[in-house]
Amino acid sequence: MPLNHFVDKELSDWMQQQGPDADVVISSRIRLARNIADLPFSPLMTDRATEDILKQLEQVMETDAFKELGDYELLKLKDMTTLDRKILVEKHLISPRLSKDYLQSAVIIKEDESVNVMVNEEDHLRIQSITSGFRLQEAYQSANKVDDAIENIVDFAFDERLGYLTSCLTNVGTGLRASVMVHIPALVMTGQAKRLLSAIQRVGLAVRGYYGEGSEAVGNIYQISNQLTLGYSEQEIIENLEDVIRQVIEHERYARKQLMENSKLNLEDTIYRSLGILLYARMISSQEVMQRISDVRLGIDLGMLKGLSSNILKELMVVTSVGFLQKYAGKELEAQERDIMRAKVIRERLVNIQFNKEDQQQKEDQQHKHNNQDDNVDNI
Amino acid sequence: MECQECKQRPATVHLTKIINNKKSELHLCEQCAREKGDASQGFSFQDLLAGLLNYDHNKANLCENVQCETCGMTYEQFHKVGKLGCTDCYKYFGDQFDHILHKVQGKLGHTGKVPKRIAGDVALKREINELRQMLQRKIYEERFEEAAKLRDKIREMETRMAQ
Repeated sequence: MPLNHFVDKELSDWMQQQGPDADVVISSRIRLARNIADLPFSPLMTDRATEDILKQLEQVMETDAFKELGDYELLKLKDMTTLDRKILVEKHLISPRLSKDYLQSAVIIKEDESVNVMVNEEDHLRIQSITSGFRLQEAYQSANKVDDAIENIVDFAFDERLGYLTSCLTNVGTGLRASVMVHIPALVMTGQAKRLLSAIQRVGLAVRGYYGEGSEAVGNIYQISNQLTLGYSEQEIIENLEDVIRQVIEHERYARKQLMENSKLNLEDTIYRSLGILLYARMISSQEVMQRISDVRLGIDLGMLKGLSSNILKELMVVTSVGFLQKYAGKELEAQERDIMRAKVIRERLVNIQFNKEDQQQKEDQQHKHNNQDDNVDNI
Repeated sequence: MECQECKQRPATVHLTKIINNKKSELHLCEQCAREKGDASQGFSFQDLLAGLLNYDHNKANLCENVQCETCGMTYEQFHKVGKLGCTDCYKYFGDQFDHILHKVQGKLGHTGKVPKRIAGDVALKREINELRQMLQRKIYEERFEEAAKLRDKIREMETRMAQ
């Protein structure tokens, strides 16, 4: 599998499925941090240690246990262009930090992009597994299998009392970061989001806006994850997060119901206006595009917009990011050029969409009327 | 309010830095903030962690010279960077560690997954510890016969582990 396989496709295979509770939960992610024994941690990483790590991993990839898990490719970041790296970041296959340390880092990616192992990020190995929808247990099983396959021949830094040893104290123990990405437009619209999110923080979970800076989440998308990794078992951590997410889902669905009952017209107006902008704008910023996509997505989840799949929206989220725009343009773009390109890409993707049957019917009626008028003119 | 960097777009990212009791504010638009990248996100978790470590000034002075013999990182360096140099740092920075770890994680004592190849030994050790605690209780309760049985069981498990 060449690098192109990962860099050319916008939507990862795993992203194309919906998954359970897809109306609120976009994806579930499990990350395990592991370090190899007897080698320096990342702050003191050397070229020789890097070589050692890569050699051990290449051996792992040759084992039957690992091969059974699927088709994986080892990619060294120093062999990629800056643009390729940017695209991998935008597809969430590598972190910005891994990209920054590209001279010493690598990534092992599964063919369908649902599992990857970052090499030489903050820890020697960061095993990551993502699923669409709300499926934390499934994601954990995938990551766990990769962990076992590697541990078969690699000695991990582990202490009985402190668990898996990591460079940063925030990951020691299970080394597990479980997180869920949720789309909660109704809670934001009804002004309940802030309250709910600070309540979540009070039970020891971390909440942050998935896109954008600071506490304001762009596009109404938030990521909720565990903070503590020591003193709890993996199952406890995951179940705790699951409980909270279930509540978030319930609250969001209830808020959507309320909006539909109490301000359907306002909601419809907002949604259709956003759709209009996506269809016809000539320039659009990344921040605005996220908000519009959020509105349209809500429209689809509420059944207001038919004929548009949420896959198109996921695709739009990815292709409107800076790296992809650059790829299409074939060159680096200034801020305004990006905004123009972004709008163009969106228009092109949405041009063939067939909408609501209601709109279709109106179109056909008007066409019919128009034809009749023509006949009258001829007669005169 | 205008972005202080590009002076074109509206400022949507407002950073307030308070360092040594001096406050400074920075107002940037989203793009400039992103371009400034790590600079504007200079307040990383590592800084926070290092800050937590600063809390105990007296203790810090005492043990700043402690050094990991494997990788050479000093406690002071760990202080600054907020990250460890190697596995043995955990051993050499021993006692001062627990108290920081406690602040970061709360509970100490790993109860989660154990690497498969050493799982057997670890499970055995965990069981032996539990049995030892039970042994103490039996002695306290003056149930000497039961205590003797436990003592024998523990001995048997210890020889098993030594193999």
